[in-house]
Amino acid sequence: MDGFKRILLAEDDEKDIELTLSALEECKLANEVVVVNDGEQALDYLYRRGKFTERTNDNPVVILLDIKMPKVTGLEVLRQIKSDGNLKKVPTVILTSSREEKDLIAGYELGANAYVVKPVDFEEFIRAVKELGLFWAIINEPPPFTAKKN
Amino acid sequence: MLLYNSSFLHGDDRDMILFESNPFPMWIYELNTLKFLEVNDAAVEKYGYTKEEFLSLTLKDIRPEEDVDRLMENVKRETTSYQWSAGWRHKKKDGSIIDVEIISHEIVQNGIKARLVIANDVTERKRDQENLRLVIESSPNAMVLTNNRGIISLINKQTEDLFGYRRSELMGKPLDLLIPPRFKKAYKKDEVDYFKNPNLRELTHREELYGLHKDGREIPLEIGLNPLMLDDSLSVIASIIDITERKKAQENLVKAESRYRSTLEHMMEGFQILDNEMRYLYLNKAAEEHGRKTKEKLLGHTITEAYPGIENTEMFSKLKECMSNKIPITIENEFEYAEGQKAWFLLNMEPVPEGVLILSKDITYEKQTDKELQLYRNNLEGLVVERTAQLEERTRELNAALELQREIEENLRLIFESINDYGIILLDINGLIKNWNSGAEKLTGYKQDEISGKHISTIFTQEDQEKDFPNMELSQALTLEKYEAEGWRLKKDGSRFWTLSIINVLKDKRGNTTGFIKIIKDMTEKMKAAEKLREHSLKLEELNKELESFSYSVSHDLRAPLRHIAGFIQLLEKDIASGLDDKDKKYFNYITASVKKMGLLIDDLLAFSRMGRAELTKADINLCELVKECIGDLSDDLIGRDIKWVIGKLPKVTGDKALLKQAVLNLISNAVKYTKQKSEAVIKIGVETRSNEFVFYIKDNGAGFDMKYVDKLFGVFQRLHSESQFEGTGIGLASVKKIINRHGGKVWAESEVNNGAAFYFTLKRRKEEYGRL
Repeated sequence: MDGFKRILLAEDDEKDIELTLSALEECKLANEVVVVNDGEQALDYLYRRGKFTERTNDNPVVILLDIKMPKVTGLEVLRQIKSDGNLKKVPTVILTSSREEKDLIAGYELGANAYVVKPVDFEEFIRAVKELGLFWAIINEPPPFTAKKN
Repeated sequence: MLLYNSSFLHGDDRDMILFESNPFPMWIYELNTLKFLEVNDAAVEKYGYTKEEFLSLTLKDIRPEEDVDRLMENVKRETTSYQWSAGWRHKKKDGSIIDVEIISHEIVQNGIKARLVIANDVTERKRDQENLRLVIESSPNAMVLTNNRGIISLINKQTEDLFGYRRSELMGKPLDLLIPPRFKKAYKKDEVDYFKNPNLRELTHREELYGLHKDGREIPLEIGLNPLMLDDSLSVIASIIDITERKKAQENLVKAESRYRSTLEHMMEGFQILDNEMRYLYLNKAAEEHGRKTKEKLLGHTITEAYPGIENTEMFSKLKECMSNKIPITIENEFEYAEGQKAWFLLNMEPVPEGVLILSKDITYEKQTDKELQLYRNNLEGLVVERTAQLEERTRELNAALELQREIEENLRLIFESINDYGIILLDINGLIKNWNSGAEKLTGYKQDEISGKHISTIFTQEDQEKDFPNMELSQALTLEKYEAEGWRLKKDGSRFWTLSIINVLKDKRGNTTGFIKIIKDMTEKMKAAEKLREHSLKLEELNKELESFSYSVSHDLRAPLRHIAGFIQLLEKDIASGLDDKDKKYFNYITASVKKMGLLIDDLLAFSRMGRAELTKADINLCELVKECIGDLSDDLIGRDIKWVIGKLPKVTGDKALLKQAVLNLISNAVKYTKQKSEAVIKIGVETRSNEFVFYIKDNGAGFDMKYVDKLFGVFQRLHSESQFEGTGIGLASVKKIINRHGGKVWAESEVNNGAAFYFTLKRRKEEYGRL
């Protein structure tokens, strides 16, 4: 996977993972996605712990975070990312079902780069995820020490 | 004689004659043996011894025995050739003693030492001097003897006392020691004059004389001078009398006289003396004024000359009576002056040796006062009657007032007693209970008898007593005049009741605090209700929290499955699209639409619940722009529509922009929606301005609704039209109502089926805009 622009997707719901991946498939980004199923795994990945100790020392081009996750919530993961000198530069997008204002505010206060509510309508959902992927993984110029596509 | 020649008297006969015929007794005696060697005739005559007898005697023999020792000492000391000495006493043959002065000188003849002695009998002179001393000493006056050089030679005890000197301090001193400095010059002259012409004189009458006391003060003196020949020289003896007391007495006499004269002259009473011919001898100033004639005109004249016609008055006859009978008479007399004026006098006539003394006192004023007094007395009776009537009237009024007050007091007492819902407690200044009405009995269970005299803290709880609340309340009341407090109080049975108490300070007429009136009301029920309310609101808050978390889970958890359904249906449709017939496709569409609808419902519901909870963020809102924004947001819905917009001038309001926009959007969106079947849709938006609020309206000419369902119109999920007619979730108007209510406004609607609908809502005007627009 080295040399690709990697997307870290932290999402516990298998169905949402599948829907998100099929949306990213539309813009040919599915292969670049690393999926973790809870906040703990997300942090393990980012800090190369546990099963991720072997991975290369580079950061994903974008992190898509669900809020409601087992063990460690998305907001807690976000907090740790944004208070880490190295990780805080990585664009992190909240991708969630919650329209609740307090989540929105908490997300931005912790330094989320974007907050996207998953639309119920599938076409809209695909459009939203596609646009997310296109913007962060292709258009946006990432900070240094980020996984790069040759 | 042989002896003379051979041994002691040498020289010629002249010496012998001088010795033999000398009037003073003379002798020669041998110094060693004190034996007489030679005596003259005068000695023989003076001492009574014959010459032969003398020559068998020694010096010791002519001395009194007691003087012999002194003689022997003197003889031993005598070394000088010539010597004068006084104070010796000699004894004559008959044993009598004489005083002598001795002149002696030493002679030596053939180795034998001898002395030649001349003795002078001074017995007479000494006696004279002693007599003088005694006379002077025994004089009651101070006496000073001065010699012709002005030196004091003798003074007596009185002089010591008068001038304050001791005898030794004055003896031998110049007399001018006793003369005040200011008189010294004059004294010197006097002294010289006197000795030129010495005679007996008194110095007193010439001028005032003063002596100088040792302490410096001057003493007035009277001095008599007497020349005296003493020891052949002129001395002066001065007899001195201290006239201090006499002078003082004289001065006092002069003062007293002048005082009496002045008193007499200036006293208020007239004072006059007539002689036996009725001639004025004396009159004082007051008498001049009383008679209105000066002394000059009266003195020496008779009273009848001075006041013609007076002889016919009662006063004159009384005067005569006094004079002839020598009795004092007192009369009150009205005197008429020549000018016709009158005055009253009280006259005291007193016989005196010179004639009659008349004391007159002007009593005109007293007489007038008497008259007035009489007048008053006459009026007094009338006044007393009048006053009595007034007093009776007052008494009646006072009684009525008292009666009224008693009535009021009784009423107050009744009120006090009959108030059951309030405890009324009278406290003294120390907080001890004086009075306790039935209300207080009912509230606390204590009877008046058992609580009276106890401290108000009796009904306070232990905690409050420890915090000294009972006394704090009273001192607060004293400072603030009135004090209100709420708290738990104790009943007799130990149970508690919540009271509201009001304490007022009681004062007497002079404003002194006499105690307190405390009114207590049982507020236990109210307290319980308030507690219940508090519980409720706590519960409500809890519920709200629950609702919030419920909404949260709805938002998150409910939408997720919907999204999955929608997503996978689409994926499924895509996968099997080729094998689907039209009917299948329609079913797929139904599922998708249903999911979408449910998503909308959930979103609307969440929005609605958020509306009730979210804080209002108030800002100034331009409603005109807000309406434009709403219409812009509805652009999708307006495609293919032909709507006539009638929008009036809209004001600025204060409110939460997002929420108000939601409300306005909902209403406009409704108007757009319900006019879609009209070929000529008209939507009017405007405002009516009332005094303190705006009434906004949004009117359309659309489908309208039946007014009998108007109550349901603003309910959640309430719809008056079918989904197929007009799509919708039934949340819109409920949201409008909630938003407007939260802004303090009202919402209502008017409509007729198929004849359009009008929606109204009110918003408060901003205060500063009242009366404008």
